[in-house]
Amino acid sequence: MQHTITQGWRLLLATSLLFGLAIAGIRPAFASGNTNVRQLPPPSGDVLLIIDGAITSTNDGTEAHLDLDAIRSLPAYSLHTSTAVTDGVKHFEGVLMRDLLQLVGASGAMVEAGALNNYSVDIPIADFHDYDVVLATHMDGKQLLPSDKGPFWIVYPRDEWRQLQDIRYDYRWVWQLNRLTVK
Amino acid sequence: MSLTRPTVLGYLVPLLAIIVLVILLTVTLYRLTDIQRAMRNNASANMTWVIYQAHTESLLLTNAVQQSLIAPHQESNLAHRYQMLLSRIDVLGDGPQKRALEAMGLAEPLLEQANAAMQLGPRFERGHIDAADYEHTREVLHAFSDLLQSASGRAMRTEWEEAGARLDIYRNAVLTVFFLMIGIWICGAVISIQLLLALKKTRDNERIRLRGIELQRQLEHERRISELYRSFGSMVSHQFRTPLAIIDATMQRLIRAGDRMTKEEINHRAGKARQATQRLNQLIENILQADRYMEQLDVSMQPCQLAELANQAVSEYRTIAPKRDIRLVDETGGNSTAQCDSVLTVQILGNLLSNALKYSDEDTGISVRVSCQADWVCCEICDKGDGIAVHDLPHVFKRYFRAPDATDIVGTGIGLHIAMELATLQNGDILVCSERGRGSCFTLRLPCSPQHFRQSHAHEPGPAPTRIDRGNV
Repeated sequence: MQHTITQGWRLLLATSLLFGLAIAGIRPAFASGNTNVRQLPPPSGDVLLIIDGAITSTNDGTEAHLDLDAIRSLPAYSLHTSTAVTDGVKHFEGVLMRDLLQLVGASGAMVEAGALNNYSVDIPIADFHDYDVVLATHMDGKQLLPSDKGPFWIVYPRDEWRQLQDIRYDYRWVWQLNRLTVK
Repeated sequence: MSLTRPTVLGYLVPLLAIIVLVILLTVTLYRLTDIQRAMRNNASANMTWVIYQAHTESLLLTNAVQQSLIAPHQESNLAHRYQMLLSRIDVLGDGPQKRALEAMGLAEPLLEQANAAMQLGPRFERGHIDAADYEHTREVLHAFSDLLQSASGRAMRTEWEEAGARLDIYRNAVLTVFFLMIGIWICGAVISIQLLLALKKTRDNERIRLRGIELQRQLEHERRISELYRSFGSMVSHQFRTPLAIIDATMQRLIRAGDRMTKEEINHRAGKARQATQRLNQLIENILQADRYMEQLDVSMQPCQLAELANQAVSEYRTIAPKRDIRLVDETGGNSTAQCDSVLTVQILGNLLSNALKYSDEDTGISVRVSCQADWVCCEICDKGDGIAVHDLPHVFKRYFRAPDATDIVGTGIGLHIAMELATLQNGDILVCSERGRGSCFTLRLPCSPQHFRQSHAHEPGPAPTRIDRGNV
């Protein structure tokens, strides 16, 4: 099973590489126009998360293509919380959303989070500063996969804050997250 | 306690209203917390969405299967689509969603179909479907899709039913609270009315009490006036009768034996009658003057040496009664400064001296003593007359009062009254002490300095003199 997943991601990687080549021509012009742009190292593994929009650190045109190593380079963070779609308290591991956005130099008020099933929702960036919102890579020690809720699941510290126990926050818990657009 | 109308209205009704109010408020609070709790328990699984997602993935997988069959050599996304379907099946099987499906009676057939689809997993992961496998795969996925489609309808109905039931609960709860609030409103109104009535009653009682006090005051005033009239009548009857009797007797004598009398004798008797008439006139003049005097009074307070004022008064009376032995003693050591009006003070002392002379024998002496006592400067005038009866002492400063045993001495009963009035005007007073057969002492007290007005002087040295409040006319 793991094998075929890798295959799938390889396909994704191939597509993104192709896309990267296509926009390579305009990249120097963009870079010279914005001196604040910082280059991120290119992904070495499967690209699991693409961040675009108002960001200053990129590695593929105007986008940041991140693999699991890039995500893991950020400080690890773990959290125990219940969720709206599972029973009991789950243990999540990952990184803080605000660290991730800092990595790509995001500046904006909203993040549009997109999932593999084309679900998308706008999340205020303030949420990530008000609460320790996690980009979870593991649940109960098991890596999240596209066949459950992977590759990433945005997890709010629901049990710590009463105001987060609200259906208006529940829809921000994007699972199968694969794209973030900073607006 | 008998259940009379006022008891019921005054105590039972408000008590009942308060009890009902407390009960209603408690029930309302309970119902409101109920609603609040019910509102928080709305985290039911969004089954329509979950089933719709699974349905979509099932159809997309079917689509991918067909695509792989049509173009077997193209890169297939079968594996990815299968992963996506697995993820949806995973969500369906998770706690809250599974329980919701069970409640709808859909858990078993759905998971059965999901298992059937997962049986085909290896084919999808392989990345392509053989023509031989196609029919079975299509049937399994179609059956799953159909079941999901009907399940989504069921889920929607269930969710709407739940939403309706929840709204019913809210509506009923709000309605209950609404009626409870009406009850609370009524109880509040009853209590408020009771309070207002009680307030009104208190005000009425207060008004009645004040009216009673006013009536009492008026009664007292009437009593004083009638006493004043009695004193006046008594004084007039005694003081006026003697000269009238003299005139009457003289006239009778003249009528009866006038022709036998010598002219000198007639003159002598007529002279007596005229003297009596003059005395009457003098009495009337004194009475009328007293009122005019008090009205025109002008008080100018300044520091005066009381010893000097006493000396003035004493000198005056030594001239009037040169035979009497009047002794003045100053015990203040030369400092007898009092805050007073010098003219009024001399008048008071003169009045007290004239009384002392009038009510004691010619061969007895009068002593005048000036002294300082606490905040007061005092001038004590003592005679060695017959003294005043104990029961008369409280009345000596009343207007027109004459002691019954002193009616043979001419007087209107106004002098001491005015002396007391004048002393009071100067923030002072007059004390009297007397003993039958040994004499009387009247003490004029004036404040030492402007700051030390008479407030409370509980400690009086020596034998406590009887403190007499001036008659209030």
